[in-house]
Amino acid sequence: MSALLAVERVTKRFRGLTALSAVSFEVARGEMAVVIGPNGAGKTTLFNVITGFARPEEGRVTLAGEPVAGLAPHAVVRRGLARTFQIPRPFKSLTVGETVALARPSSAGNVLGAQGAAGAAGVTSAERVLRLVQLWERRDEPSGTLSQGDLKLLEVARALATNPALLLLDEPYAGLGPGEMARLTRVVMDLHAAGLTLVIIEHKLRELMKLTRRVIVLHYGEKIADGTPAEVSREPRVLEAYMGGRGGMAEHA
Amino acid sequence: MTRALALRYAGAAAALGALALLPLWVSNPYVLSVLTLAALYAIFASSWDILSGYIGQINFGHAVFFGVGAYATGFLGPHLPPLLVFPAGALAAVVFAFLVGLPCLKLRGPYLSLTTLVFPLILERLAFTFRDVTGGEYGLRVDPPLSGTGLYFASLGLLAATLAVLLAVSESRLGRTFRAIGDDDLAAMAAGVNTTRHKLGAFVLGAALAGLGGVLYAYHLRHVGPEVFGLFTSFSIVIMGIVGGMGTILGPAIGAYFLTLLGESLREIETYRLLVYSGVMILCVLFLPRGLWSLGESVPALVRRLGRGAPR
Repeated sequence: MSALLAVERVTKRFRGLTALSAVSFEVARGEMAVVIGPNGAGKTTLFNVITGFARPEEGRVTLAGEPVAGLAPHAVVRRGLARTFQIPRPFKSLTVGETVALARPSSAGNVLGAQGAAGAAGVTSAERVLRLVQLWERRDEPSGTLSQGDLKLLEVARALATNPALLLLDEPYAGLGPGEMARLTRVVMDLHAAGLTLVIIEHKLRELMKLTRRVIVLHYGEKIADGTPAEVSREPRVLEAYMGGRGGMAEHA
Repeated sequence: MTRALALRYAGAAAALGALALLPLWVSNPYVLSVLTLAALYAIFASSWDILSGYIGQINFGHAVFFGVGAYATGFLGPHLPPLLVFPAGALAAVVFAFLVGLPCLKLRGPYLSLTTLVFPLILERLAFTFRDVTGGEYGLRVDPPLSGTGLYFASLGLLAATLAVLLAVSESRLGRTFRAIGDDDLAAMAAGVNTTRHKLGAFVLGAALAGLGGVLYAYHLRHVGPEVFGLFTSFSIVIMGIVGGMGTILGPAIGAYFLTLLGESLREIETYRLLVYSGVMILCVLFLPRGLWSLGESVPALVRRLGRGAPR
C-alpha cells in the first residue's frame, strides 16, 4: 500500500511550549486512522499543521508525495486534503445548500465520483454530499438554525464537497447525542467503504474502536503509540498516560 | 431570490425611475444639485458595502478611491475627451485599490480597517505637499462637460448601473463567497476559498465603481481639493453605510440619500453636521441595528401583525 499522507518529524512550538515534537506517521490510501490523546496532547495542532493553518518549525508533510506544509490552507484543500473543525464554523448568512455549493472542489478526490456512480445520474455533488449526511431535505434552511449535531454533519458535508482524497475530522463526535452519533458513524462507515482515506481525532473511543484498525496516540506532543487498538492498549506508555496505568484504554474500548 | 427581496429590488427600480422623472416637475437647480450629490454619495456608499458589508472588513478609507477618481478628472479633464476621463478615473482608483489592498491583505479584522484609515490621510498630505501639480489647498478647477441637469441624469444613470452590478454580484456565487468570508474566513479557507484574492477582488470592484463616481463628483463640484481625502469624507461613507444597513447594497444607498438630504436641511448648523450624523448613527445602532433597510422588513411584518390583530 502506498502512503497517501506522510508526516515526517514535524515539530511545532508556541513560544516556550512544544506542541508537537518530531511526530512521524504515514496513512495509506483508503486507510482509517484515529488519533487519540488527552487534552493538550497536540491533536488539533497536528491537524492545523497538516492543513496549512499552522506552519511547523521543523519536518515535512506530504500528500501523495507532494509537500503540503507551508502552502496556504485553501491551496492544501485544492490538493485534496480537507478538514472539519472541532467546534462547527458555519456560514451563518448562507443556507445549508449554499454552504456546500460554495466549496471549491479539488480534482484529487474519488469519493464524489464513487458516490455518484451509486446514485442517480445528473445529481450534483452538493446534492450527493447533502444526501450522504441526511441534510438534503434541509438545504434551504439558514445554516445558523441547525442543531449542534446537524452543524457537525454540515462541517463534514462542506469538507466532502471539496472532493478530498483525505479527510481529517476533528472530534466529530463531541457534543452529539446518541442518535446523532449513530448517524455520524454510518456516514464515516460509508465514506470508508467508498475508499476515502480518513484521519479522525477523537476522545470518545467507544464509537470508533469498532470501526478502526489503526490508532495513533499523542501525549504532550509526542507520538507514544501507533498500532491496532489491541496493540495500543497493551502499550505501557499508553497505560501510564491514561490514568497512571489503571487500564483506562480498556474502559474506552 | 426570495419574493421579499424581489419586491425590494422592484421598489428600488421604482424609486430610481421616479428620480429620473423628477426634472419634469422640479426645475429648481438647487434641488437637482442636492439630489445629484445624494446620488453620488449613494454610489460611494454602495460600492463601499461590497468590502465592508459583505466581507466584513470595514473600510475607513473609501474616500481614497473616489478622491483619486476626482483628482484624475482634475489632471486629465483639460487634456482628454470626457468619455475617456471616466475609464481613467476608474483605472486610477483600481491602481490605488492594489496599493491599499496588497499591504492590507495579510491583516485581519481591526488591523486591516485601521490601515485603510491611514491612506486618505497620506493622500491629503501629498495633495498639500505637491502643490505645483495638485494646486495645494486650493485644489484644481474642473470644467464639467454637462449642464446641471445633465449631471443629474449622469449621476442617476451611474447609480443605477452601480446598483445593478453590485446586486448581480451579491446574488452570485461570488457574492455568497464574500459573505462566507465575512461570516468566518477560516472556514472559507477550509472550503478551498482563496480569501486573499477575494478580498483584493472586493477592493478592486468597489474602487472601480467609486472611481467612476469620483469623476462625476469632480464635475459636479467643478473643483477637486484635498478635503476629499479628509476624515469627514471617509467617515460620512461609513456612517451612511451603517445607517442604511450594511451588507445589503441598497441600504447604504438609502442611507446616503437620507443623510445627504438631512445634511442639506441642516445647512444653517453646518459645523454640527458630523455631530448630527453621529447622533443619527447612534440612534440607528441602538434601535435599528440593521439600518434603515431593515424597516423594509419590519414595516410589512408590522402591517401583517396589525392586520391579523384587527377585528373583522
